Amino acid sequence: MDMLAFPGHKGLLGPTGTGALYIGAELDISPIMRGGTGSRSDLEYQPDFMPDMFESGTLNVAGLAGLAAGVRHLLDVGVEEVQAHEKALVTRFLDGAASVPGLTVHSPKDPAVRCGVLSFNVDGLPPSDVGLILDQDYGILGRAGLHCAPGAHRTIGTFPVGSMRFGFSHSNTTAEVDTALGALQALASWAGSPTSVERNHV
Amino acid sequence: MSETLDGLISFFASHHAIRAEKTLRVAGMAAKLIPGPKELSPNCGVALRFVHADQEAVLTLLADNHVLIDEVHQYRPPTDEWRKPVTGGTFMRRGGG
Repeated sequence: MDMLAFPGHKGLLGPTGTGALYIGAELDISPIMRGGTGSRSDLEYQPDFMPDMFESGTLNVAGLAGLAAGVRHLLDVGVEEVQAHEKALVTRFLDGAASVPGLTVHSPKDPAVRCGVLSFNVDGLPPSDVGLILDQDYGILGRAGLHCAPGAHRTIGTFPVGSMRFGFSHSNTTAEVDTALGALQALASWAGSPTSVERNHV
Repeated sequence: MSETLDGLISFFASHHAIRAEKTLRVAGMAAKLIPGPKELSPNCGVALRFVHADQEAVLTLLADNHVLIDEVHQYRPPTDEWRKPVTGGTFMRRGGG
């Protein structure tokens, strides 16, 4: 592997504003930003050794401590255990959602390439309304809209309306998946009822 | 909600939307942040519901407090009619498990 960039605030459970870039030792590249000679106070210029040459300014030490705690926790639980649990939750959601009329789920058909994230639409309801109701009436948090990924939404045909997104983590439970399915069943049923359809077209 | 929030203000920046809600609440006016409806404005993030009849007072108040807005709409989401079912709401899984 030559390089790997990753955010700290998603699956790794770190605070926002954290992340890392791995750079292979054999790569010969130059920093695009310079500033702060912290580890070599006697110099006028950025140090020329790794990793200091790429770590300009003062690091977000408190945030990185949080990221380290998140990573330690995941290693304690076990990465395979985390993945297996997330896949089980996603599979449970997909199986249940298949029997809910008016609910369209966007997720890879191949279970091998699935992760804990999927998105969906309820026929007749904008994703923003779905998100608001799930939050206010059921205490279920997801993200509605285009997810800063307009290209992905063009690919699955949900641009510009977007979709509602769930991210299942290893701390979610099967009971929570079923609660979400119950909520979506009620919402989809309401949105698909004749009175609701009339209202939407007035 | 006792008053009908039939007005909606969209914003370019969520920062101003949050300040607008706080400004109205401090003034004792009804206000509620919601996800911005895409059909009204591409400037997503959050939008503010308010009582449309109070538009003049609301806009003056926001301008006085240097809150920048995008557009004002007359808007009620169809989901105002939605009520969470008192009974049911439990997902019935086929075949148990």
